[in-house]
Amino acid sequence: MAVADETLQLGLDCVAELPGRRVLALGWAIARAGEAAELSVQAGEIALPILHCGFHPRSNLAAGPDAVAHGFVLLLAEPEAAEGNSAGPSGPATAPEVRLATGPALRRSRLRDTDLPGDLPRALAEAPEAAFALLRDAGANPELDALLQAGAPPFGAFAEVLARLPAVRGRAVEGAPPLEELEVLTSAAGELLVVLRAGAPLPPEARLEVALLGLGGARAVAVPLPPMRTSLLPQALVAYGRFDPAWLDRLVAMELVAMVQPAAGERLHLRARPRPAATPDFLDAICRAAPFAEAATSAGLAVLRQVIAWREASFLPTLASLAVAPGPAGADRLPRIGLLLGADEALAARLFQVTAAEFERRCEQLLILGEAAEEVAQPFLRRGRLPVLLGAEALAALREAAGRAGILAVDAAGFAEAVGRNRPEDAFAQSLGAPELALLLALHATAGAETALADTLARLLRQRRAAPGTGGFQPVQRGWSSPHAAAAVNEHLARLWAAGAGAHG
Amino acid sequence: MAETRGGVCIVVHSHPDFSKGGGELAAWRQFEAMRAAGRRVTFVGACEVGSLYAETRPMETVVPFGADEYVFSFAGMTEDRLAWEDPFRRDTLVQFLAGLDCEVYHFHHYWRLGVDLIDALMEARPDARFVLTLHEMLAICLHHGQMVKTRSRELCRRESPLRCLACFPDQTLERFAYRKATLMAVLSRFDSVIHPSDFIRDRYRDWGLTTPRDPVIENYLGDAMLAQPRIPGDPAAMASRFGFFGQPTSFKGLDVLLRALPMALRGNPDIVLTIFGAEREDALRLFPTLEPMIEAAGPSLTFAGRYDPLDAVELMRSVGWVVVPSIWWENSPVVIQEARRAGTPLIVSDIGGMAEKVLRDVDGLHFKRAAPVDLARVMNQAARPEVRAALGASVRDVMGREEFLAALDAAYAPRPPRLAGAAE
Repeated sequence: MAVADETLQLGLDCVAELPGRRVLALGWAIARAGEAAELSVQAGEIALPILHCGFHPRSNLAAGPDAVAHGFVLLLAEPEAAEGNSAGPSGPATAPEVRLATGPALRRSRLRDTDLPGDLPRALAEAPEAAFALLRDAGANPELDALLQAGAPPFGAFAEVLARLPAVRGRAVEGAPPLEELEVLTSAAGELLVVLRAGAPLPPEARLEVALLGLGGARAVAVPLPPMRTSLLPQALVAYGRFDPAWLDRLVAMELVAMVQPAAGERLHLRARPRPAATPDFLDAICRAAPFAEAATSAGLAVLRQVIAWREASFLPTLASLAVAPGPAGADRLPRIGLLLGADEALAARLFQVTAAEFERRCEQLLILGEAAEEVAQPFLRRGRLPVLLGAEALAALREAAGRAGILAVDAAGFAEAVGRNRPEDAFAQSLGAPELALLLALHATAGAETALADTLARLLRQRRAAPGTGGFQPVQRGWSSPHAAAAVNEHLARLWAAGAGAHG
Repeated sequence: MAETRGGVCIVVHSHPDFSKGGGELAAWRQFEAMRAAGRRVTFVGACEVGSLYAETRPMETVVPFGADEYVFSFAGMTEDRLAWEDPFRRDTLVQFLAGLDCEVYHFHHYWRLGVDLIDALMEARPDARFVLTLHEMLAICLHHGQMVKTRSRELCRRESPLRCLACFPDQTLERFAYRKATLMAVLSRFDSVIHPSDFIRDRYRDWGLTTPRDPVIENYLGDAMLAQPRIPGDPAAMASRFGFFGQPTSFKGLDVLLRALPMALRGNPDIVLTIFGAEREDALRLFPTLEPMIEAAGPSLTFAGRYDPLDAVELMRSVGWVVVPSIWWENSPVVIQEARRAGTPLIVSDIGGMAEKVLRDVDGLHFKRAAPVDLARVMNQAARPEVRAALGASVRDVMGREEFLAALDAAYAPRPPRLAGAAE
């Protein structure tokens, strides 16, 4: 442990060379409390540009009673002239140094000190607070995202520190009482909900911060995440935020890194995989309590209502605009895209084997969604008469088509039912124009009752067919945390659906 | 109706050389009758032996098996034998069938043939006409097509997803819907669907199957049986002789008959029952609790063991009554046809194809299904010589060859062109 006996101190823990003439410095600083301290990097009289400067708590650093201690991370762009103390065009270069100044007082630390470690992955592993700060900031700063690209894939310079962090399996947080659960959910609208549940009351100092990583190709990427809105409940911390939903199409999975402060001076870092959730499940998580914990009904409901208010402020105008948006001229002449939803049962492949021609006659492309999409696609692929896209590719194609082309939506189970009645043509009566497709996707993302798009489609079609005054939102039946949460969420969903119904009302 | 000029290909779920069920025998007898009448006809039957062999060793999918006869391996089909897992083998068979010089494909059954094969053949031969004879209700009922409830053995009168779920709680409503839709999608595309009984036609109609033509044409019993003379037996000698013909499966009601026998014997000790098609051990294996009844029957009960179907009519002449006590509906049991051909009246369960094919007080007597007491009552009634004499005189013969071929020609005929706007 470093011991500071003066009120202005500066130290470097690691200085690492990065590709592109970048230098990352990890260090610490102690300064008198209440006084402005300035951090800079100088090579003689030349100030080196700081591309990123971040501070983080240093729990292993003891400052005096009148001082404050922080860790810091500096990302520098190393100019040509400063390289290797070689002579530049303006004369002999001076070795760069980090400076900490408060008024006339100054501390310096040489950036090129040969005793400084340069192994960044190891340094980050030993300084998880610094690593977390870098991950948290990487989403907003492409310069920091480069740290994920250097070193072992998929996490680059963060490989060691992430490997050391406890991973939450399911929801259970082990060995960190009073913390019991960490639930991380994403919605199709690009929302992130992090709920940390405890078995005992949390103090007012309790904090929760998160960083979000995306896994798609060989390398992880930092997902830009605007500041989360965090609420403290008696026995839980709830953080809500939004990211660009386009990431959901590009990524196979996400990884959340959480910094948890269950009490003043205590910190731990956790990893968890966010779980995609339909809107009711997503919102109800706010009110769920940890097992055996006392349910904080009123406080949880207050946060739920706040999140609902944020959602409505954002989503209602979008849905309303989609509800009244006219389709592009000539949309009906665009290629017909077949959308086969709810292909969840492998046995369905037999049905599509003997009815593939029905789709080939009506569509120019077929998108298949569902758990058994691979199997269901086989008859079409073998026949080779209709281009077929599955899963994420199908969803991407659907989003691309939204607002531009119409779709012929066929629910797999509904199709079976129609064929069983000897009326297959009934199943093809559900065509959605370009604006309706955009509305469908928006409703599913913001107000879908199930993760399956088929349910949202069924609701939309029911709403479309309903006589005036009927066809209201059918409440979602599930194991709600409380009837009050059920009422709040169902009323919220009903408002969103009503906004989307404008075009058909 | 003009006879079909082009060739007919009969495609069957089994060649009778390997399995002698009612459906395959009916198909084979049709093949022989058509060939004897100078029609161009090809017989293609599934072969279980070849299929087992083909599971482990290379073997041609289709093998010539005689003049205009072929057998095929169904190795590569799904476990329920309603579709093909191996599209290559399916397509090999489709290519073979499509290449045959015929204008009508007459399928007997779809099990072991695969609805996907039928679909592919329909697509490969849009010029041909497709005819199907339905021998049972497998499309309607997952319980071997019996329409008997799995738990209670009660009769089922109508298919619906929830009813089916009660019989098969490990299934899902979606799976039932996919199964029905897959079968319906193909069966409804046939030009003609032939039903051997009104009963099975009604069941398929209730299920939702509509095809342009769905005639009832009884299975043909075959030229050889039709050629046999119909000799009335001596009612006094025959009245108390009862016979059961067939394999003792759990649906055939042999247990009902064996329970009825001691009661019938109390009313008339002269009654004798012969079980054709099973040994004593076969019956006890299936119904071990019936051993006391079998012992009690003593010399009044005889197990005659297996018999050759070709001998059925002659064997039926050796008894005064043929008893068909099935607890399931039956469709058009060949045993009933054989008995009628033999001129032997019948005692049958009062349901389904049995009640339809055995007109009460014309071809025989009915008893309450699965009710040994009622069967015993009817056996005592039947054992009276005057009853046997009356019904022995009135029992109807079966359909003749010319009538059968004419009915087939009507089913094979091209569908008349529809007027624009006319309803189907």
